Amino acid sequence: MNENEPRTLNCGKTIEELSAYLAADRTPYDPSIEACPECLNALQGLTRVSQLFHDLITQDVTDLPAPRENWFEDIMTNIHREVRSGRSLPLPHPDKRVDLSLTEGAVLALIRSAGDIVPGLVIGTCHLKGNVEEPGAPVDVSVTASIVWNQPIPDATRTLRTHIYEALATHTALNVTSVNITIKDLHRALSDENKEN
Amino acid sequence: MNASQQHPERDRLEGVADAILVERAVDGDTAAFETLIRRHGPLMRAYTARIVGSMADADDVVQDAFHTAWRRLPELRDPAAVRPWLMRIASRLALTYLRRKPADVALPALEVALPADGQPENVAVRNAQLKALSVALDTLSEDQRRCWLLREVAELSYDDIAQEMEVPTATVRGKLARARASIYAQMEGWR
Amino acid sequence: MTPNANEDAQPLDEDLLTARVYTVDGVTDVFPPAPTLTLIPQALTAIVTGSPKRLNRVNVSTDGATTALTIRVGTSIDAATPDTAKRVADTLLDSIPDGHDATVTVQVSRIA
Repeated sequence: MNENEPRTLNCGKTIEELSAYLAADRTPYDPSIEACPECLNALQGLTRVSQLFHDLITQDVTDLPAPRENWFEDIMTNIHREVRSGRSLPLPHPDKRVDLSLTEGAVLALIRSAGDIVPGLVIGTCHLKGNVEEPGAPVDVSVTASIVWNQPIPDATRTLRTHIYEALATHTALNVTSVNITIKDLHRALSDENKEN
Repeated sequence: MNASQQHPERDRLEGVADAILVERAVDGDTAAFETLIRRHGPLMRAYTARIVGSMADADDVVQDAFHTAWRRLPELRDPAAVRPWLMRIASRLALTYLRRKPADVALPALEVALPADGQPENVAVRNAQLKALSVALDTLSEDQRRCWLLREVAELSYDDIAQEMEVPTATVRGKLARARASIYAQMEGWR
Repeated sequence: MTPNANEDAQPLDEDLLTARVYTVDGVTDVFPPAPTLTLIPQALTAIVTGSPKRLNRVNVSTDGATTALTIRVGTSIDAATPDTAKRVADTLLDSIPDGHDATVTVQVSRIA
């Protein structure tokens, strides 16, 4: 076989064509391929090689040696340095020489913690809508959460809302006018590998 | 369990889907990002090692990939597709790394580590197939192998591969065609 | 605090201030200053203290007339954050010698 030419089957189709056909999930249906035994053999072979290749990488991952010491820590240290603070939320102080503030990032983390207390609930996105940098301005909190276990949704929502209100009242000077919770699908919450657990 | 006592945040997030982890990480949740690193890091390391040819170098590249990922996570349009997105970043950095390497340094081929003895027959056959595939990959030219990896593992489109390798799309098609034909022919005994 | 005739010549000690902040009820951490936070409103010439600046502490800048104290802290989830932040500010205010103009900037960047 000439190494420089894509392999052509006796029926005239090239491996490249068949590979593209496979990549398109064999649609639209091509009778010239599907009725040709040589092509079908080749498709089967290509599928097997593809699967084998994924097995190879999976094997690589299984046999993977551990990274050097501090590999992981080095990544996390850099990340912590760049932590997303967001906007600056004012806190009161009677003395005019003093400027007190709280970062939006800290408040979002606080809200996520409030979600972590509710069993079976995982908070996804968190949003503070409103002019949080202005003392007293009305702020609406929006949160998406996923129910992970078989929890009754109204109870979990009620509990979460209470926790969020309490946390914000205790730790911020925000004028929270609403806490809006959107519950997302259960089956999207779990990662595919852990669905059986 | 000891790990749960030490890292309650992390373990709590272990079973959570990628999309949610990404949403939290975009908002600043470092524990969520940590979980993403643990989940996808191994594949990125294995794949990058096959491109750059060394585990130590691959580890440096993947570290950089995660730094980049943290910064650019807000740009990710589909949070559920974070794995291919991470693979793209790793690919790009791996190829950049290779471009900087002097041309005369030969990249060692990676060995497939075969598992211990006492395997049933069909597993032994499969392992031999993997070894054959590994050998077949190593016989490809470097460009062909990179195209193959970018397509098969990172799942990049032809145009994206062309962009990463800084060659025309037609060139990518040609190299992929030859890579596939070559591997297919070499694996003929196993089909 | 003991009155000191040479107050103007002695800058406030960042280590001492930082140690005091750590003892404030509700404070869990002191963090490096964020880029935006160390922007002092007025243009000041910083008098650098003799010791090399480490990052996790109170930042003291002064032009001789006005002193600016800046700090980023983490607070405990078990104590009300606005109260903790106020306590930190008060602690720093108390450290300023009489007659000095000063500003105190405290940012809470983590509640845990």
